[in-house]
Amino acid sequence: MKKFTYNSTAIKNFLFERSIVIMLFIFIIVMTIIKPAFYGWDNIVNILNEMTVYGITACAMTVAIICGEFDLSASSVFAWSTVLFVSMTNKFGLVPAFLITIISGAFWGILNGWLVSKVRMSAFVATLGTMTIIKGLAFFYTDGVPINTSNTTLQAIGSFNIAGISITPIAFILVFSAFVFVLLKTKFGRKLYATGGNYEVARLAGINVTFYKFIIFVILGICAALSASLFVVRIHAGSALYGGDLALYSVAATVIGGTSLSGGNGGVTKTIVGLLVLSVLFNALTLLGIQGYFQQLIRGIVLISVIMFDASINRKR
Amino acid sequence: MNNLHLIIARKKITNTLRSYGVLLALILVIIVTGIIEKNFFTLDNFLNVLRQNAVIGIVACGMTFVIISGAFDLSVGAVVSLSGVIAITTINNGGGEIMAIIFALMVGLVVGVTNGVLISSINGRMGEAFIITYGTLTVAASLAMYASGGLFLAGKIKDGFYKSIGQGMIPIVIFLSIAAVMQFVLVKTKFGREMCFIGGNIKAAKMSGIRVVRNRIMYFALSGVLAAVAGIVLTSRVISSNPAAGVGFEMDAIAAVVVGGTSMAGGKGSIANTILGTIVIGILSNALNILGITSYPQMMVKGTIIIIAVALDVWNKRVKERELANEKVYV
Repeated sequence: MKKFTYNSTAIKNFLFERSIVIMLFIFIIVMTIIKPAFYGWDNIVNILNEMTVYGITACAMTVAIICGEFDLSASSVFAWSTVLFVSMTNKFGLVPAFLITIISGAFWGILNGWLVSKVRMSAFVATLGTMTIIKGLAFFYTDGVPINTSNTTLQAIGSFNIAGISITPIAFILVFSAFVFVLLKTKFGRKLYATGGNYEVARLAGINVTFYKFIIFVILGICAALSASLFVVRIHAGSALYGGDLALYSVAATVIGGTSLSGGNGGVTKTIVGLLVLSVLFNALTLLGIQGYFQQLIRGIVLISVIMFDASINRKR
Repeated sequence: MNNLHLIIARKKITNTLRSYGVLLALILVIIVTGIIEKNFFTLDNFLNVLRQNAVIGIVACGMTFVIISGAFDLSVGAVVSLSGVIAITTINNGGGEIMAIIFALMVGLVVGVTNGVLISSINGRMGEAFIITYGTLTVAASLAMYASGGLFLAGKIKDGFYKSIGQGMIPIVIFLSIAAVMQFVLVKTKFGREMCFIGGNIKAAKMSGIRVVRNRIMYFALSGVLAAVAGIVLTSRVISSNPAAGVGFEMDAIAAVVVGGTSMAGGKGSIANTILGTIVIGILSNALNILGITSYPQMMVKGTIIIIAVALDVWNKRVKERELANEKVYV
C-alpha cells in the first residue's frame, strides 16, 4: 500500500514538473485537429527558423537569470548590432563585419557586467540605463532610417538551407549544446548555479562571484550580437527599431520554461519549452487568422495564465 | 580638540554633498545652461518643464509606492494610453466629461487591482511582478489599439471642464498635490509604515500581522489609478488620444524614481525624491533641447545620467556602511 502511494506521488511530481510541456502537447494536438496545415513540414520549419533567432539570446538570458541577474539592454544591443553589421558589411565585407559586431556585443556586455559586478548597481537599473544609451546610439548612427545591404555572400548564406532549415537553427543548436554542456558538465556551470542560488554563501565558499556576475553579461552581449547577425542574414537589413521586444521575450521564454527569476535553478533545456510555447502560440494564432490586437491580447493573457498556473502548482507542492 | 572639530565639520560637508548630490547636480545643470542660453533662465520655461513632466511625475508617484513595497509595475504606460483612449471615446459617444473621467479612472483601477491580486496571490516579488505586469501591459496596450482602431482620436468638444484639466497651472497643481498627499501618507500614517515594512521584509511583515495581500493590492491599484489620472491629464491638454501615447512611460517613471534616489531593493524611499528625480530628468531634457541637441543623442545623455545617478547612490551607501563600521573612532 505504502509503495503505491509513493508511486502516485512520484507520478504526480513527474507530471507537475512537466506541466508546461503537457500543456504544449495538448495545444499542439488540438491545433493539429483544427488546422492540419499546422503539422506540415513547411510550418514546422517556419516555426524553427522564427524561434531560433531570438532563441540564442533567450538561452543566454537563461544563463544570466540562473546567476540571479537579467539584462534589459539585450534588445538595444540587438538593434545596434543589426545596424553595425549591415553598415560594416557594406564597408569591409562579411567576415570583418561579423567579428566587429561580436566584439561590440562583447563590449556592451563588459560595460553591463562592470556596472553590475564592480559598481554593484542593480541589474535592472544598470541595463535600463545602457538600454537607453545603446538605443540612442543606434538611432543616432542611422538617423532612424533602416539600412540594407546587397552583399551577395550574405544573401547566399541567407538562402542556404537543408530541407527548409536555414543556418539559424543550426547555429542555435551549436550554441544551445555549448550552454547545456557548460552548465551541466563543467565547474564553471556549477559555480554559476551556486552564485545565483546564494551569493553570500558562494562568496564565502571561495567562488569568485564578481567574475560570474560579470561574465554572464559578456556572454549575453555576444549572444545578442550573434542573434542580430543571424537576423540580418535572413532579412539583409538593419534598423534601430528591430528587436524591441527581445529582452522581455527572452525573460518570458525563460520563466515560462520554468527557470525561477530568483536564480540558482533552471536550465537552458527548459527555455526551449518556453520558446516553443511562445512561438507555437504565435504561429497558431496567425494560422487561425487571428491578427493584430487580438493576437497581442491573447498572448498577454496566456503569459499571465502560464505564470499563475505554474506558481499555484509549485506553491501547492 | 580643534582637530576633532575640523574632522566633524568636514564630515558634515561630505555628508551633505552625498545626500543632496542629485540636487547639486541639478543646480549645476541649471546654472551652466542658464549662462549659455538666456531663455532657459525664465519662470515661463520652468513652469513649462513642470507642466510637461507632470504626467510622468504622477505616474512616478504611484510607481514609487510599488517600488518601496518591493515590486514594480510595467503596465502603467499602457494604462496611460488606454485610459486616454477610453476618456476621449466616452466624450465622443456623448457620455459627458464626468463619465469620461470616471471611466478612465475605472480602467486604471481594474488594471491595477488585477496586477495586485495576481501578484500578491502567488506571493510574487520582483520577478513575478515583472512578468505579470508585462502581461497586463500587453493586454492593456492591445485593448487601447482595439478601442481606438489604432488611430488618433480627436475629441469632439471645444472648451470645457475636461479641456481645462490640461491647461495652465492645473497639471502642476494636480501633480504636486498628489505628491504632497502621498508623501504625507508615506511618512505619517500606518499605511505608509507598513509599506516600508513589506518592502523591507515581506515574511516578517506577514508574521507581525500586517495584511500583506490587501496592502499590496492597494499599492498596485493606486499605481493604476494614478496612471489613469496621467492619461486624463495627457489627453486633456490636446483633447485627443493616441493609442501609443504611453509607450515607454513605465521606463521613464522608473528612471525618475531611481534618479531621485529611491532604491530598487525596496523598503525605503520617498515621494519628495521622486519629485526631484522627475524635475532633474525634465530640466535635463529641456536644457538639451534649448542647447539644440537632437533627440537621439539626448537618449544617450539620459541613459548616462541614470547610470551616474545610481552609481553615485550605490557608492554613497557603501561609504556610509563603511563609516558605520568605524563609527566609534568619532563618537
